[in-house]
Formats: sequence, structure tokens, C-alpha cells
Amino acid sequence: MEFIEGMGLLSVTPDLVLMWGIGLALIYLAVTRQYEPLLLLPIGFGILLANLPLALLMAPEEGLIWHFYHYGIEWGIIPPLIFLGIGALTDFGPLLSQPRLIFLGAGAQVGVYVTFFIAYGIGFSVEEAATIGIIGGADGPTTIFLAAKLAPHLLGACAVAAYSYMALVPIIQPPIMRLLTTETERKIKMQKGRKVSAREKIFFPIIAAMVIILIVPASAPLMAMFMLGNLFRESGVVDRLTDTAQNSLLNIVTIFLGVSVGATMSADSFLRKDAIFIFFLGLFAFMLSTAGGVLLAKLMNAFTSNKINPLVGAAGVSAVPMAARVAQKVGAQADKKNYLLMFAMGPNIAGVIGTVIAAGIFLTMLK
Amino acid sequence: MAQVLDVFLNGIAGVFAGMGVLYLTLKLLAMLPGGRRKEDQQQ
Repeated sequence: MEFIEGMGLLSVTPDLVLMWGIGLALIYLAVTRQYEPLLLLPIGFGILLANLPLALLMAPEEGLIWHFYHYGIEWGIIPPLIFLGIGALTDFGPLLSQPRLIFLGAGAQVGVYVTFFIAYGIGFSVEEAATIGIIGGADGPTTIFLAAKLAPHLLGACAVAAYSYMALVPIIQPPIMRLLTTETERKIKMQKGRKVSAREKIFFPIIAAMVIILIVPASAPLMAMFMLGNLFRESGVVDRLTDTAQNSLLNIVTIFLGVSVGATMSADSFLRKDAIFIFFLGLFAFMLSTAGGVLLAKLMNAFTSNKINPLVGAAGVSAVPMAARVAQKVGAQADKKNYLLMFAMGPNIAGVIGTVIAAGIFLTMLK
Repeated sequence: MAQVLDVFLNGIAGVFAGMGVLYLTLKLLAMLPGGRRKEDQQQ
């Protein structure tokens, strides 16, 4: 009898079943549509696990996944480790060869701040509004890092929104890009940037880390690891470390990140009207950030004869390299011989830096 | 509300300022001796 009473089956509620449906939907999207599968698959499974009654996997001080979440995310360890791997995978060459494109990464943060303002206006607290706004940066680890610090109860919804919109970049961005540009603008062929030396590439992560951390100290955990990973790569003398950061370490922490984030989405914390608002506001932030990058590129064109194709401005959101590929694709639809990918990688990488700075400013002013 | 406006304005200004400083850094890096390849200097 005691065994039967201890069965989770008797504690299943409609809310839990609904959460299973959400978890299974994410797994379905990851497996069949390959929407951000590296994240949505473990997140979906984490949601299932968190909503199995009496399993207590997220029970504080006790549950297995709670330990992953507590030490990995609450302690702020996993997102910087993800950034170490991303840094080791990133080539700053496109940005170094055309430094002016860095501003497009700043322009694409407009959505973050406008959405922050709106979210506060419709009733979210300042900390919650900042966490929702950062979704517009389309940077999963930064969203999780900021949510864990400012609004842990929104972490699951914000992370899923961020990763979902990153997966939907090819669907969300093109209509906005076409709406804000003329056919002639989409056909603009950009001048090739200069070649970048190996020495510049080695100096960049060292100096950029120092400069950015001196300006926004709260961005240090993410920025330091990002630039360290890049220094591994560009130094060319620590291939083993570069390989580990790019592959094994990144894969390991991605598993813990995904399962932990999914497990924060218990029925009682997720099935609230707040979650629906978060998804709508996150989408709005992302769309506005896309528009911000495109419009800033057009504004820059008003002051220079060396024209920028405004489509590369949309890559200022930090969904790397998806947003850059979308710029290439939309550009090629206007002119098949126009190759924008390498130009778009510049703002794309700048977008990562811009989102980290935006998160650092939120932390500085709100923590 | 004052705090939100403060964060909003400081945030946008801060991101552009940060990127502006980084832009200058990139420009300075390009001017370092040996910062460009020989073939670029010849062009």
C-alpha cells in the first residue's frame, strides 16, 4: 500500500500533462525540424523531468538536476564556460578588417532597451523587464546569465524564448529586412576589407577584454571567458586547449545547461500569463533589434561614400552564424552575385559583444 | 519610473560608448607596427 501511495502516477495533474506536452513539443522540433537541437533537446527533456511528480529532481539541496542548476547556473559558471567555447570558435577577422561594422552590433541592441521599457510599462518589475529585454539580443547564454542574477523565476521562459527565436531567425528576420530596405539597397556590393595579420588577431582578445571589462566590469565573467577562448584559438600554441574549449568542454556544459534550464520550467512557475507576455515581448525585442541594425546601417550610409549593404545590419543580433547566413540569403535573392556572408559576420560577432555589454549595464544598474 | 528611464538612456548610451571605444581600439590595432601584412602596405 505504501508503495502505491508513493507512486508519482497518482499525483499527475492536468498542468503537469500540459508541461509534458510542451517538453515533447520542444523535443519534436529539435528532432524533426532541427530547431537549435543542441539546446532544445535537453531543455525539452529537462521540462519532462521537472514535471514528473515526486521525482524531486529539482528539490533544493537534494535533487540531481537542482545541483546542476545551483552550481552551474545560479553560481554563474556554465554561461561563461559556453562563452569560452564560443570564443574559441570565433574568427574576429571580419570585424577587424572592417571596424565600422562594430556599430551595427550596437544598433541591434535597441530592441533590448525599448522592450525593457515596455515590459516595465505593462507591469513587470525592473529586474524582470531587463531579463525580458535581453532576449532581443538573441544570445542564449547571456540571457540565462542575466536571468539567473536578476529574475531566476523567469529563467526557463526567457531561455526557451531566446533559443526559439534564434532557431526562427530565417523566418522572423527576412520580412523585416525587406520591409526596411529598397531593392537598390539590397543590391549594394560592399568593398572588400583589408587583410588582417595574425598579430592583430592575437592582440585583439587581450586588449578588447581589458577595454570592455574596464568600461563595464559587470560583463567580466562572460567577456573574460569569450576573449580567453579566442586567445587560445588565435595564439596557435595551445591547440589542445582550443580543441577542448571548442568541442568537449562546450558539449559537456551544453548538456548541463539545457537540462537545468528545462528543469526550471515546472508547471507552477511556467503556466502563468507572464510566460505568454515573455514570449510576445521577446519576439518584439528580437524584431526591433533586427530593425535597429538595418536602420543604423542606412543611417551610416548617409554619411559615407563607402556604402554598407543594410542587410548586414540585421546580423547585428548575436545569433551566430544564423543571422549572417540570413543576410547572405536575402542579399542573394536581390543579386545572385552579391556575397554578403563575410561582411555580415562582422556585425554578427559585434552583436555578441554588444549583448554582453548590455547585460553588464543592466547588472551594474540593477543588482 | 525615473530609474527605468535612467537605465534605458544609460543603457543605450553605454552600449554605443562601449562599442565606440572598441572601434577606436580596432583602429589603433590596425596602426600597430606590423599590424598589416606587407602586401597590404604595398597596395
